[in-house]
Amino acid sequence: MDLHARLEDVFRQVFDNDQLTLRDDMTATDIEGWDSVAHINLMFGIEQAFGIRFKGNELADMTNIGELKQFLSGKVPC
Amino acid sequence: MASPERNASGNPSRAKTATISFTGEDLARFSAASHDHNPLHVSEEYARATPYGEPVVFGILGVLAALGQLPDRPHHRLQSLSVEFRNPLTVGVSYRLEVSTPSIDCEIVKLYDTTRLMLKATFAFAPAQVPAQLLRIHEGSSVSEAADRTKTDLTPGTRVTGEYGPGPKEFVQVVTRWGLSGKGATSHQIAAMMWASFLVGMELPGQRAVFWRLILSFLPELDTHNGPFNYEAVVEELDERYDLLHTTGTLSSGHTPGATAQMWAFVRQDSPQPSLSRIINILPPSQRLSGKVALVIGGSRGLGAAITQALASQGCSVVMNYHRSTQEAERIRASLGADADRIMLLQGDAADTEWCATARQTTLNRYGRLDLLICNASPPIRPLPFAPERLAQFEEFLARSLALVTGPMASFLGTLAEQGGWNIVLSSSFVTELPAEFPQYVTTKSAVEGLVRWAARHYPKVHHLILRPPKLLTDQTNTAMGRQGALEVEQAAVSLVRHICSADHSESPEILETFELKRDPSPNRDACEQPGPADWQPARDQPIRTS
Repeated sequence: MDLHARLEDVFRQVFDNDQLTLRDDMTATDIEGWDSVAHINLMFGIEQAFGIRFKGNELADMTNIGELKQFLSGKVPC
Repeated sequence: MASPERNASGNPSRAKTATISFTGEDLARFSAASHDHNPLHVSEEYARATPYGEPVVFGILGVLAALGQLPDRPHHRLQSLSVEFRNPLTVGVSYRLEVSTPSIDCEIVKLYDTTRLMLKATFAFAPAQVPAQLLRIHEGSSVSEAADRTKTDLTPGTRVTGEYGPGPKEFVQVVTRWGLSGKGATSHQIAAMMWASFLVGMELPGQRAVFWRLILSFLPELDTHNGPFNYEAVVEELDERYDLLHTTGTLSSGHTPGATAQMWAFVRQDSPQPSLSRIINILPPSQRLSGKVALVIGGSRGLGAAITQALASQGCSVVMNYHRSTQEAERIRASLGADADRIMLLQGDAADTEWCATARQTTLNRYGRLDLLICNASPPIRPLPFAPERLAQFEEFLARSLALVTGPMASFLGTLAEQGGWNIVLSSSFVTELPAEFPQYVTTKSAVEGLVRWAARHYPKVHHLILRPPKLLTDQTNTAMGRQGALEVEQAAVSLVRHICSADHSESPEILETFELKRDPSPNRDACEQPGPADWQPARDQPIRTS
């Protein structure tokens, strides 16, 4: 499974939406239910799935999904 | 108590929906059964000063309610349980429950508040020769009050041990109430679930816990024991980024492990208390408002308390209204030290027009005037889905919130007009940001702003000011994520006082939505001065407290 598909799987679990399809230009406002509680679930979900650890709240500083993918591709082998 | 034989259903494609809700009695009964007396669940007063505003349903009670909705499984035994506590459950809300069966040995239960996922529990079963029995259980608990462990008490390796067994009478009541017989879980397994609740709520971390995740694995030896269990639990990690505690625990029958648990819980931090010293640090005391009289509606906590302190620090006499938080109100008055007599406490419900009439008379009798009315009070603000089944709560919030503004405004605008006084009403940056989870709050604040615009037209002798602060650091935002980027209430209060003391107020109503602060260069200013633009610094230059 490539990085995009793995990330999409995490998002589907966290946001309880099997139909959710990620696009690089998507932001938090494009995804229903992305509140502060979901944000923590998402961070932990990504950390667990990719075996990484965010520093502080750096996820919040990323502007869109594309940037998150770029961040992850630099951290984990694709 | 033996489980009754019922029809088994093994169709993996089956899905079931149901509706469940919880009462205060359910919480009391579960507390007595589990020995989890965490005040977040059982004390309204305690819960009011948390981000949840009201008692939260025990997470494990939600799990038991879910278990009760599973099909009967006379030939299975529960092997493990995995739970995600996504959002807090509250009393009186009808939750939709969906059961899905991805395989013959697995059931996934999701609890929704309309479309918002609140809890997800995965039950894994294994075939068993004999039905899961509801065995006799034995009471035992060495803890009667929830430990108040802060982050410094929760270093990795911190260990707790004790004896555990639910209250037998209440245990049976819980089993009966939620229909737990015949679901594939033995009484000892149900007791182990209660133990997890007890361990997190009473021990690690204890009082400050907000349960987040649980993985509970059962061993066959669990059911062979006769007598109270022993337990041991240890802190594995405290993730400082989110104040998230990871603990592991073992529930033993004698010396034989019967269940193991992995638990994650947020450790709630102290309620952020408005501080006069932080106010004075950015706004030195003065007499610039000496002779003025203010009435702060909802003045004992959060922004209202900081406004009370900031006004009093500038010589203003403040009538501080509060509804129930007597202790907090007295603490705010005492914080003024030698100037405590500048604050008069006035308890009551400001939504009640009779109270408003009495407050008006009391204020005029004591001070003979009113210069500033600050409508700050609000019911607790919690996420609320905008859906037909939640409109009752929506309307209740709207009515209550509006009454806390309409009552005081209707009662005091005439008095304010006599002095050319100020009508100051709290709105929020949410009226322009429109966050998805607070439709009731956005609606209320938009309505309130409309009323102030109306009042500006028809009470032209009064200065009308709408305050639109950003997210503030208060009890309601006091979570790991909520604190991030939140403005200190002291900063918002000082911005308000500076604004009142500035010279030009030709617009009406004014909207104050930028909270840029500076240190006062002259600590002994007596008169109202208008600071020039060069004096102001962006709020980001002020440290935002995160703990």
